[in-house]
Amino acid sequence: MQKRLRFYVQLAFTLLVCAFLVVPVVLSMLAGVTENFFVGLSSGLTLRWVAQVWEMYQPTIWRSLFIALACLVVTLVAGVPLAYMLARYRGGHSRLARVIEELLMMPVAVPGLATALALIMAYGQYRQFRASILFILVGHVLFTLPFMVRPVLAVMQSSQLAQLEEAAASLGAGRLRRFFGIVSPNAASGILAGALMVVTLSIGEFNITWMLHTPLTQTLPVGLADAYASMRLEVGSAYTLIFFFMIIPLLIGMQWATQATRKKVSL
Amino acid sequence: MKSKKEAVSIRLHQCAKSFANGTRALQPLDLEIHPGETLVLLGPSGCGKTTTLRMIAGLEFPDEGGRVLFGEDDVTALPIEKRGVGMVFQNYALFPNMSVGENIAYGMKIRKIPAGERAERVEKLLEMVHLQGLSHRRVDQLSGGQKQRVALARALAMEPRVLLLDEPLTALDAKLREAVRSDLNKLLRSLGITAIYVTHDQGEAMALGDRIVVMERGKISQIGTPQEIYYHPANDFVADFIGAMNRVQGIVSGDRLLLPNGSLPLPDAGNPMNATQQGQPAWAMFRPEDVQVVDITEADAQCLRGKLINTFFLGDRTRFEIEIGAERPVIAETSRRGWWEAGQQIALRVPAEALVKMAPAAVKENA
Amino acid sequence: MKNAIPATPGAPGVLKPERKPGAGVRSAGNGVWLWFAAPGLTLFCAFWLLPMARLVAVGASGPDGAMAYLSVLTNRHYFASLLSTLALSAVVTLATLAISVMVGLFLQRNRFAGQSVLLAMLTFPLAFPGVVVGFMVIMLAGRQGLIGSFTNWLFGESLVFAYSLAGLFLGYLYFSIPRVILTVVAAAEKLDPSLEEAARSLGARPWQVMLHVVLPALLPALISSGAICFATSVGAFGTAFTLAANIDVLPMTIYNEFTGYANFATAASLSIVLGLITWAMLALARSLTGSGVAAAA
Repeated sequence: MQKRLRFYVQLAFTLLVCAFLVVPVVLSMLAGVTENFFVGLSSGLTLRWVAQVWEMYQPTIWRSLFIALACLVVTLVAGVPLAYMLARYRGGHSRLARVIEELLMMPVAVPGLATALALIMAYGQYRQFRASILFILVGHVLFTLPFMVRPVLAVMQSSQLAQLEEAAASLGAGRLRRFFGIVSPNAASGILAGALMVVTLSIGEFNITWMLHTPLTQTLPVGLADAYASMRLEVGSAYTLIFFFMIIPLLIGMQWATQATRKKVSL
Repeated sequence: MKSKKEAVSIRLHQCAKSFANGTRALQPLDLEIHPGETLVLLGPSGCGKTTTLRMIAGLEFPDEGGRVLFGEDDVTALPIEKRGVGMVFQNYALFPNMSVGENIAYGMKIRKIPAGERAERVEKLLEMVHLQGLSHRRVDQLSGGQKQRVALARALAMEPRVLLLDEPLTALDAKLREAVRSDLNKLLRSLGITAIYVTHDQGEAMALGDRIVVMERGKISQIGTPQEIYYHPANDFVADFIGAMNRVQGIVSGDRLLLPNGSLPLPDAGNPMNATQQGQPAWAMFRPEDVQVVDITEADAQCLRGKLINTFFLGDRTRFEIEIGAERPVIAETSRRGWWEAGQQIALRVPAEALVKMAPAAVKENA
Repeated sequence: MKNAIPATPGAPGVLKPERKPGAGVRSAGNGVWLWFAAPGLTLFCAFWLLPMARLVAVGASGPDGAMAYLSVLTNRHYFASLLSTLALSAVVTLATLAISVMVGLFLQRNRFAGQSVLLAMLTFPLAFPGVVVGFMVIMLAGRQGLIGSFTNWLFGESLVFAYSLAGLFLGYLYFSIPRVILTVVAAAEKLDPSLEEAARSLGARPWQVMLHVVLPALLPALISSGAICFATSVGAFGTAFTLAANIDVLPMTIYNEFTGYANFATAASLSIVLGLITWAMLALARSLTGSGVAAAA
């Protein structure tokens, strides 16, 4: 009897916490398609707010997507070889590798504010750079690079991949050929997990971007902050709704990819 | 030392167990364990021996209608916290955040026994398991054998009515296992406590058990003393599970069983094993160590003839695989020195008393 | 320290030392590897390492010189800001840990329909930037919020607290719970059930099992995820920004100094201090588990 009671109390508490997290999401999605949130659902469903958001913020949304993809490309080019070095330099156990890993995490460990300030102080005077998308891209790359390196490194460190490389080397393959022909294809699951993570983080990045942006280089979250502050609730909600629709497939993809990576790495 | 409590009997009455996903782990089971005896539950994985142990412990509850009794007390509804059993787990389950002494004293601490008395009992228990002075050691600094003994001391600390051991030696390596097994045996005898022991290792079962319960697929196959189980297996599963068993098929003729390459003597007509009919086909089963291997030059009419296909030198014994034209080769084991090369013709002698079992050939064998 | 366990006689011998993965392909010329690392490291040095060094210098370039770094302690306004940030983060961390343990253990131990759905719902807000979290709090407790409408219906008066400390607390809780709960569930999965059964066999009741066995076993995971939670809260900006609370957490103070008053030196020094705090917390978390990442909020 006592056991049942405990179960239901804990279940109720769990549901309460879930509700706390989920209900506002649902509410905001509803608000985005409601004619008048103050009146409630009885005022009818409409897409006009979504249309309005699209009209006002379309360039911002595309810009966010572009930056996310560019960020992905940069982190791939910079991160995958870097992961390879960390995995293989001196057998993967060098002090240098540990130091680099530690350093890479710094832009994540330190508040985005600090990273952004540092960038502004150092490069703010280059007007063209400062006012371009590149400036924001740099911030995003700094923040997302470790999230590409980590899963790729994990896969590369697995003994299975090392054995494949040894086999390739025994057949005469040099370092570059091994990297492009053996290592990268087989690290695909780690790369995929990293890629999804990078894109998701880039789309949602705010702390750094807010400091770095100009009215001409706004991203989606920056637009959201703008909408929350100055627009009516329905518009902010509609904008949030668009954000959710962009994020949710990425999250599902990440879940699936991390499961695939886990299977490959755990031997 | 400890006051010897009256050992208690354990009875299981129609205890079955089905799990949530529908699997039937145990068919309705009746079992009586005598006070002070060490009973071993033996069987392959999935046979239900661990489920039975956990039901006796109070970690699982039998399906509707099953009852568990300790002596005269019906403990079916009591969870493990209230049953007063001592349990030793397969991987010892020592609390890593406590020292050796704190682990052993845990049950006493729960019952609010004062610290001084606790410390005294802990020392006595450590002495009993030959780990004196290790009370302050951290658990992760112990070897496997030491951990096992601490787990035992902890289980015995509260003088339980029943001691339950779930494959306690499986995690140890072979040599250590033998040494610990012997210590365990002595301890169980000296305590006189009712103990139930689960294992899949038959050597262990026969060394430790007063009686053995051989289980298969949720049912009891046979209960008996180690000798009964070994020399008189009740069915083919037990015969195959315990030790190796040779099985040959022939035709009963007179007082012999006729085989393609010779014949085997059958026990006297008065022997109940000789229950097969003349002229009928029958199976005969005998153990490898009862087979005498004889050089072909010394073979007589009583012998079976065959060809030696394989020899394995195992150190303390030698195993021969001999083809006699039956379904499977005969396995013979001897501890005597003697060596024949594979490929040679060889002769076998199996005394009539060595026959473990006979069955009419029409009976379907277990796979 | 662990004692070396003596090899027991009869133990299977180790014939050769374990090979490190990838050791075989280490050919002559380790320096070649550095070329692989070049693009990433160049980016990093140019855009983080050097600018950070510059920032440290800027922080010391104000009228107070290097003493500006102590201003977080000496200046009353900044000190108050630091204190409220630390206090808020501490309370949020404790609350999150408590909630996560209760919910995480419950989910891990009870199999029922829809359990994985619940877990997905609990971790889905991980991807929200702080601004969105702030908006969620407004949805709950703002002027047109759910709680406000509910209390209005019940009592005739709307309860609005999104823009106060309570709202900020809720917001921080909102982004902390998903992070910690995943770690707790993962750690709960690794718990050895036989430890709890052993405690029960010795007579321990549920609360004793929880106190003596479960919580100690979960402690490393709790400490490391607690440290991550604390670090994320201390560095959180977007949430505080959206909720525009009249309590100034340190990130907001820095922001105001920079954009409002153009106090570059102060902003720089304060952000270095803030960075040191969060980094130290995360180093603590990493030393316990080896992972420990805080995505910003």
